[in-house]
Amino acid sequence: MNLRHVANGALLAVILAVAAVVQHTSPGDGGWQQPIEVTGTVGDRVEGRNIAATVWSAQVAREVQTSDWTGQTTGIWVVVDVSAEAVVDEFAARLGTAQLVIGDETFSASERPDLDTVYRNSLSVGIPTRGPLFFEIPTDALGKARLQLGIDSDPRLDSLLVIPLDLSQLEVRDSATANDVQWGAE
Amino acid sequence: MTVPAAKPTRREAARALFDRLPTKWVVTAAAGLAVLSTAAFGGLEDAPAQELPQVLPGDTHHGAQLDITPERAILVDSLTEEGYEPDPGYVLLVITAEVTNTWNTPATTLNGVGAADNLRPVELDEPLAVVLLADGTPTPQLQPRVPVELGYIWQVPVGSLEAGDPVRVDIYDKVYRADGFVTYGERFQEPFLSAFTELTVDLAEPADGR
Repeated sequence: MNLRHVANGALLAVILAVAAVVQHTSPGDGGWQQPIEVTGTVGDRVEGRNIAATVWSAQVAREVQTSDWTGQTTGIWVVVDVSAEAVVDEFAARLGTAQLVIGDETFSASERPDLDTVYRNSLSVGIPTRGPLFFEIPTDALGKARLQLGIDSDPRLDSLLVIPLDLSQLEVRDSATANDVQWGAE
Repeated sequence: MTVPAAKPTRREAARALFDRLPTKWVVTAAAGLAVLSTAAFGGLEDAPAQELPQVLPGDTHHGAQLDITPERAILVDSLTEEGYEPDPGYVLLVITAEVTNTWNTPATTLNGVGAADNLRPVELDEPLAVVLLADGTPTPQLQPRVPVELGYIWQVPVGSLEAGDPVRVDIYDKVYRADGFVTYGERFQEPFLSAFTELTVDLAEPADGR
């Protein structure tokens, strides 16, 4: 009889331990719908489910210029030269997510250059679109950053390309000129 | 052999009396005492009406998500180049403000969900548009800690405002919410009146078109 009590107690302890492990390792409220990250480096082609991109270079400038637009800011500009393409499907394939995450702050690519940025551009399968992404950030935010690219403005449950950039290593220029968006350029 | 009932002591008599007291009376008396004791410290007086703070033009209103510095109110016939043409019989009222997003993710300036809801001249509904003054970008995203100058555009009937008239503009703040049953992520919603400012109407200088 005594032995049975001990066995019951041990079984209860085991069940509680297993429950604790399950609770602490299962995804949280938002975790189960997080995007699936694909990490790469500058100059490499990074490929996810329906987006592939190559980040060619990044620069930092106080003012930026495209053929139709001059961007002034109270902060500072980070200009990233990127080419992106769709992989399996062109339907609704837009570069809708282009974010720079620095510390706990998230910045989205600027829509101010209108047609002079690849942000929100339609992507084609196998034919890369190359052009600049502009990020407007506070001057003191220049540091280690993660560039995140994804299809659609909501990348949850889809691939999210992540390219780490170290902005503190880049020379701050007075002005930078960005190339036009080109379709079919590698 | 029975023990004769001893004469109850004073304590026992009090206890017997208390036991016969209905509980409701005890509770009511306690509540009454509580009210009376708060009244002794002014608990029953009218709460002071909170006066709506006034923000002077050029001063900053610090909200939960946005810092807003109202600047000018400008009347302009039309902003053709930017694509804003008032209906016949109307002119455009542009309210300019410096707005800084103090949250850590970008904020939209759309009607209904974004910074378009944070400024409202009294008696006017949602603005026609919110534009970035620097380059005319419509409904720009506000990046964290990057101050920008915004123009809020309404149309008002010709003659309802003249140069030099005061315009009272209400400044709204929003409530932080996170997650929910069918919603996801963090957001600011449910605008509530938080302050007001009074601007003087200027006419647009023809030179810069605003």
